[in-house]
Amino acid sequence: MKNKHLNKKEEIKEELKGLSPMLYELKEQNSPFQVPEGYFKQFQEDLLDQLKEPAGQTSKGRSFWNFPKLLDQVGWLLQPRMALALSSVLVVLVAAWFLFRTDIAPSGQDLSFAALSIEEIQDYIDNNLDDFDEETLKEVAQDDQNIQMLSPNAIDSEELDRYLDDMIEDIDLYELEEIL
Amino acid sequence: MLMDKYQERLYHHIRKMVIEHDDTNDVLQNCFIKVFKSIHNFEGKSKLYTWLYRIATNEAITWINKKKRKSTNSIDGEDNILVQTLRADQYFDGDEVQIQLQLALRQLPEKQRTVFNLRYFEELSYKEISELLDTSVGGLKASYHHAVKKIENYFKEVQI
Repeated sequence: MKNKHLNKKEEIKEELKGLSPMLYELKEQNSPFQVPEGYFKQFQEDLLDQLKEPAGQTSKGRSFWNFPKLLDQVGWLLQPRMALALSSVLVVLVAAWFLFRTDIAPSGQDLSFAALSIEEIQDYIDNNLDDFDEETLKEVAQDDQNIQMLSPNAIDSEELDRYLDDMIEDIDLYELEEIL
Repeated sequence: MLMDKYQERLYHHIRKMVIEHDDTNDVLQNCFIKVFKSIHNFEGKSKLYTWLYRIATNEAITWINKKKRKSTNSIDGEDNILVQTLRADQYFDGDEVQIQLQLALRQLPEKQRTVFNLRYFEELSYKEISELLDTSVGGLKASYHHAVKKIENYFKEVQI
C-alpha cells in the first residue's frame, strides 16, 4: 500500500518533470501556506460546539443577525447594479405613497374641518396665533375686508381727525403728561 | 476520528483554492457540517477521502463564485488585491515566485484550476480525480497538461 502511494507520487513527479521542469522545481519548495498554531485542535472544539447547538439556533457563521455578515449583505446591496435597482424600487414606492396620500388627504381634511364649529376654529387660532408665520397672517389680513379698512389709504383724513379728537378728550391729563 | 484524519488535508486543499486562512476556516466548517449531516448518504462506492474531497471542492467553488458575484473589481483589480493580501498575510510565507504562481492559477478556468490543484498539490491519481469530478481520465489528463502549459507561459510572460 505504501509502495503504491510512493509509486503514485513518483509518477506524478515524473509526469511534471517532463511537462514543466520549472513547476517541478517549484513543487520541491515547502508550501507557503502556514496554519496558526493550535488551529486544528481549536477548530475541532469550535465545530463540535456548533454541531451541539439546538436545531432552532443557527450557527455563528450562518446567523442572520451576524453583524459582519449583515455588513456584507449591505455591501452587496450597495454595489452599483444593485444600488440602481434598489433606488428604482424606492422611487416607485415613494411615488406610490405620495399618490396614495393625495388621494385620501382632501376628503380627510374636508371631514375634519366640516366637523369643527366657527368658535372652535376661532379658539384654535387665538390659542395658536404665535404658531402662524407672518406671511400667512398677511395673506389672511388681505382677504379680510374689516382689516383692509384699517389700512392707511382706506381711512378718510377727516375721520382720522375726528378719531384723534375723541381720543384726546378721553385721555386723562396725568396720562398725557406721562406720554409727553 | 474522521476529523483527526482528514481535517489537515482538506484544510490545505481548500486553502489553495480560497487562499486566505479565515476564508478557509469558514469553508472547512461548512464542509464538515455537510459531511456530518450527510454521512448516512455515503454509499461507499468511492473511497471516503474522495467523497470528502468532493464535498470540500464543491464548498470551495461555491464560496469562490459567491465572492466573485459580490466583487465589483476588474480582473487587474482582483490581481492587485490578491498580491496585497498575500504580502500582508501573516500566514503566507511565500516569495515572489509563489505569489506569481497564485496569480497564474487565477488565470485558469475553474475546472482546469481544480484539476491542477488536485494533481499538483494534493497528488491524487487521475482515477481518484475522475471519481471526484465525474470526468473521464483522458479529459483530466488533457486539462492538467493544458493547465501546466498555461502556467509556464504565464511565467515566461512575466519573466521570472
